Amino acid sequence: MKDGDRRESRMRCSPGIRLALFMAVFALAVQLRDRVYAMHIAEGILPGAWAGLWYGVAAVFVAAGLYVMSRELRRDRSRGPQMALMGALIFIFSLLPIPVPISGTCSHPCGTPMASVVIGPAVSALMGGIALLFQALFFAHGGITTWGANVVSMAVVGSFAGFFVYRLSRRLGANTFLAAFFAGFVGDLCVYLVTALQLALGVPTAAGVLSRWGTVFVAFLPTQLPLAVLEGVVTGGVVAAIAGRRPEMLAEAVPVFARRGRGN
Amino acid sequence: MEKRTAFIVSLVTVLVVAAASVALAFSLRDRAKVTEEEAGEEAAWSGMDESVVETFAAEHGREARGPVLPLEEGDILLFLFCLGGFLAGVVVGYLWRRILGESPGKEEVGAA
Repeated sequence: MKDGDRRESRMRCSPGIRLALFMAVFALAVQLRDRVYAMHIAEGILPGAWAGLWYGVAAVFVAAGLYVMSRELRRDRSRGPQMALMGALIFIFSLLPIPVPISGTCSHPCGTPMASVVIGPAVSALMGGIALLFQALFFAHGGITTWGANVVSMAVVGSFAGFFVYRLSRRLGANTFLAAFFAGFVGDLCVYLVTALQLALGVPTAAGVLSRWGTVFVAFLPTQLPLAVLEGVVTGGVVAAIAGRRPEMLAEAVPVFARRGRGN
Repeated sequence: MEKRTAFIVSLVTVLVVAAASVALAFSLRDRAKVTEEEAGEEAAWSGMDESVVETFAAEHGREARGPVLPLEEGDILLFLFCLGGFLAGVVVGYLWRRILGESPGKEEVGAA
């Protein structure tokens, strides 16, 4: 192949570069706001004992994620970029305030259900934890004291709920898009169900825990239900695109100790 | 034909779930407003942390504190969001291209 042809061939590959530029500009554009709205549990909301408990739970899953990640990388080095891609997607998704006209407020998708389908829930939980740490440190998004609680709700529950809903849907005969749609939809709602529980447990009121849990979760729903649909559609689209090009990527995703080959 | 049926089933399912979700969201929106009353006009387009989480916590004696690093002064946070969004966007675009590349159909057309 002549040099000119090679150059022309590289030019034909430019959609990848265009995609990189588009995503960069898109990410830049959506962040260009005169004020930043965070959606995780903010610094100081939870009392010390509850914050410590959630840190402990999060630590178990982060350690499991580290174990699975190192095992996967020893087995196949090419999994590294896939984990990095999903980590970056979680970071962007969970930092993206989307206005919902029904309630007049903003909230964000989670990204962890999608990541768990591709890289497995344990590594997805770890990636979510890293994204949340960056957001708490450098973006005033969430908090250091509430990092454990945010990891448990968004990273751990979002990942495991999404992963198991995806596997269950596939087993029940749903195609890849539909199974991933349900994973994103249910995973997103599960995140807010657990966030509501964390608030109900950590912020004592005269009402019982169940009553507080219901009150907070119902208050989330007008904003979060439409976003759960959006998260489902995006998850379905991304997972279906991956399944169309690299179906083996989905088969390699394992929870922690399970067998491979049943994910695509 | 089978692919077409799967597409139609997926589309109908997504539309049904979306319609049910939006209807439920509409029916519950007054419940969300209850926690916004004290925030007043400032609550418009605020994040759910302010409109629900912080309002609920403040009503019961738990106030949110500022971030650990003093990032909310001037446009520092705006700069960080722009930078973070840009870098993450570049990473996603680059890795997507590296891992998934062109679709098989396009490669065949290019080769021909």
